[in-house]
Amino acid sequence: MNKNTENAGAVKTARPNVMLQYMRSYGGITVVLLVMILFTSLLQPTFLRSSNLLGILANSNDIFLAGFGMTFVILAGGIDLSQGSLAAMSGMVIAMLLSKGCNFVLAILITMAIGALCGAINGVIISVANVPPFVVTLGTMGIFRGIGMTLNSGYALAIDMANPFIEFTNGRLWGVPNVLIYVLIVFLICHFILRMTNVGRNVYAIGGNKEAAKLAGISVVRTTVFTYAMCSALVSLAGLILAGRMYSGLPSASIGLETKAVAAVILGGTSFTGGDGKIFGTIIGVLILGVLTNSMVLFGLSSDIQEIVQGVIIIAAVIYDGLRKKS
Amino acid sequence: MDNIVTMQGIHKSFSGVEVLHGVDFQLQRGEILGLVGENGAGKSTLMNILMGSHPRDAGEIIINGKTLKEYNVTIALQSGITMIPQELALVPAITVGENIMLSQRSANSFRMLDWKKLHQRAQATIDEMHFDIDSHARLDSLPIAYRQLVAIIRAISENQQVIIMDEPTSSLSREEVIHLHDVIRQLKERGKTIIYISHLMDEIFGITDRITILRDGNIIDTKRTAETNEREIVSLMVGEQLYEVQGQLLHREIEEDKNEKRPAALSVRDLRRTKNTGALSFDLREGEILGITGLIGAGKTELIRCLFGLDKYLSGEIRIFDKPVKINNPITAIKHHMMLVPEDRKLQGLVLPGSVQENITLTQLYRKKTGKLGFRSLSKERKDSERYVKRLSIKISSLEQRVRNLSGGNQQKVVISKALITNPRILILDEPTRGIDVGAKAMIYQLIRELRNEGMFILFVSSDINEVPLVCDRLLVMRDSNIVAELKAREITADNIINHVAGVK
Repeated sequence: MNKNTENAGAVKTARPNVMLQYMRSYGGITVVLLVMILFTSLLQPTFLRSSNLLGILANSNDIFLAGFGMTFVILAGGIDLSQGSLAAMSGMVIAMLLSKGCNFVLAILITMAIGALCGAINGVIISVANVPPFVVTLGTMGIFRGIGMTLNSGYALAIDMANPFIEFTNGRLWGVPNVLIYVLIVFLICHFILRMTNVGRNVYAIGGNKEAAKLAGISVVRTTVFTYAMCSALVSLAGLILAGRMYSGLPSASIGLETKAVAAVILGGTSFTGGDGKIFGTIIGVLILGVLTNSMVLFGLSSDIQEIVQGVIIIAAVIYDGLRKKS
Repeated sequence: MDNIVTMQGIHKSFSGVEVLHGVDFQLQRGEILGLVGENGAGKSTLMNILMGSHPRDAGEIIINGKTLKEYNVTIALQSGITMIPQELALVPAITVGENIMLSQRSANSFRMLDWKKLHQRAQATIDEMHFDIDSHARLDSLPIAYRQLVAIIRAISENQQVIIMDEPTSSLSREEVIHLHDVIRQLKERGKTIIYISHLMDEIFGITDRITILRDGNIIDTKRTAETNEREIVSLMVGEQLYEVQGQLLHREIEEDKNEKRPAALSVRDLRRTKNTGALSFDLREGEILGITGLIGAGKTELIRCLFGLDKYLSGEIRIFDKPVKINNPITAIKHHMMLVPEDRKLQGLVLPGSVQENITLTQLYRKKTGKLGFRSLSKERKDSERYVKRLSIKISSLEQRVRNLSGGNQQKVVISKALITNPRILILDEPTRGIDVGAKAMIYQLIRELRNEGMFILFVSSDINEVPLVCDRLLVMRDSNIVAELKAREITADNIINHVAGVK
């Protein structure tokens, strides 16, 4: 660049076409999803039945919620391995509260608050004591699972089927499962936070460059605590929904939820190193995982093979992410 | 003359920006060649191509008369070329000896590592150069200067024909530099060829046989050291054009230099970072650009980190607009109307994956002020960003463009916009023109002067002795964490600065 080019031309600040931007960010991954849907629906026409499609979405509710939470954490440059454990613990907590006769709305709020607190503890240890997130959440993964176990000595805790809570998790509104409405509301809130609020922007800033964020007067501690608290509150919601759908709190529930969440986030184009990505991408990521699981069931493949395919897909997505960044 | 290395028509681009425009470079056997140029002139890039760590886009590399089509680090090493690794290229958690012998492990007859022999050979190499370093010491137990020496020793121990030294003395003391120069002269006597890159003219003139000057990706000239002088080299480095600008600015400067006792925006009294560093005192007065210069490691950046609340200080007082303040973190600093343009724009200044707009509006305080209740006002942020993009003529395709894809100069302008958008009263700039092109530099100098005239207080920190005379109204020179001189308008000349920086009286 020399002096001539420096002075040449007015500043163009036109906003690029929305569709073009979408294709640039999610074009590849959307094509993958569409091909999967096309392939499955041609060979297994049952796939396209509305009951099957709604089933895919509803059954993915925990990955949606955990994935949204994980998006916050990964955007801020972290990782949360304690998700599955916390979900199980939350299921136990709500089952216990309901069995003690607690009002179900209050029980939901208390459970999510406890979840948020657990996340905040993750965040405080990570940002104040400066311990790598991988290590901290590996530790709390054991702790939360253990607490869930001890709540009822390792046994499941049944929820009364007549409790209105069951309607909250298993009901439908105009034929749409309630949980999908919750997922949609949570998505809109998450999207709004990341796009329109200061704290949302701080999440991107500390994930993109912690040092620059600090110099810009952004509190790394507060932002980190926020992301983990947010993440864990959503995971708690996922955990209590699962408890409702299973009519009981299960201390061994949701093992490996965090890997599915990470897979969805990465598939959705969020950079694993942080600072880059959108909550919308996570939706596509979850859809790919959901369609994949469903089609394998339809094709009669065992769940073990699903695990293998899912693993391959995660690695492929990260390689793709690296290639995209290079170009 | 016998050329050990000839590079012809070397072109190199990084992400679409050409940084070397067909460079012809010649290195004669057995000489010490100085390679000089401003930051961003392409010295390091050229040397990285010679070392094989960057592929060239076009051009020929001829070593010992052989034209090498294929070229990479392995071939460079086989051809007898080595480069002193940056201190980062050493492994901190292992011993000095292992670091030195990293590429030449000694194995015993069972193909097992022979520790005793390894340390013997390493220690022998160290002793031969008369350095006082224990081969058994863990590298990270040594001070930075010694680590740099270890890197140098390692390169020399490889016994290669050509040794590239890129700023080898950046963290060395004066005595160590003199010692290193003795070692280099010995190497020359043994027939080695040295490429010596430095910003410091006295080092270049003290040791080299010839000097090659790079500017903006072109080789401007090569001079015999004995037949030239500092003035000529510096003017070749910066280009006559900039010297003219310098003349004009200096002229205006002298006219404006008047009243001494203006109120101070920022007063620092007896600021001590640690027990061993000097107590610093200075005032940043109304309507002036106060410069701070000194070598890397003289304590400039450390001072700024204290001022901006990034590091703690031991004792002393900081007053802002006559009020004593305690600054523990950048948030407090920003609340006291300070803003920092940090030294390293990629590591400290920018969120690289973020867009131009998100970077300009990064500062929390600004976003809080424009928005309400934690919600942002995107339209207002957009308008403000556009204003600064125009004012600093930042070349972007849109505000949504990622800063990662901008050139260095435009990135730096984004960082400066980020600081200005908060309307700071005190602006601290740390090496604001490092590694950017001359056009962007001139623009930034101009901008800084405009800001001063608008009433902003400016602390301008730079180790580039060619640029501080262009910019500063008053200049503090730092050495070994002390302020060793205060120069006023007329006294701010490259010559004067060099003397104080290097401690020559």
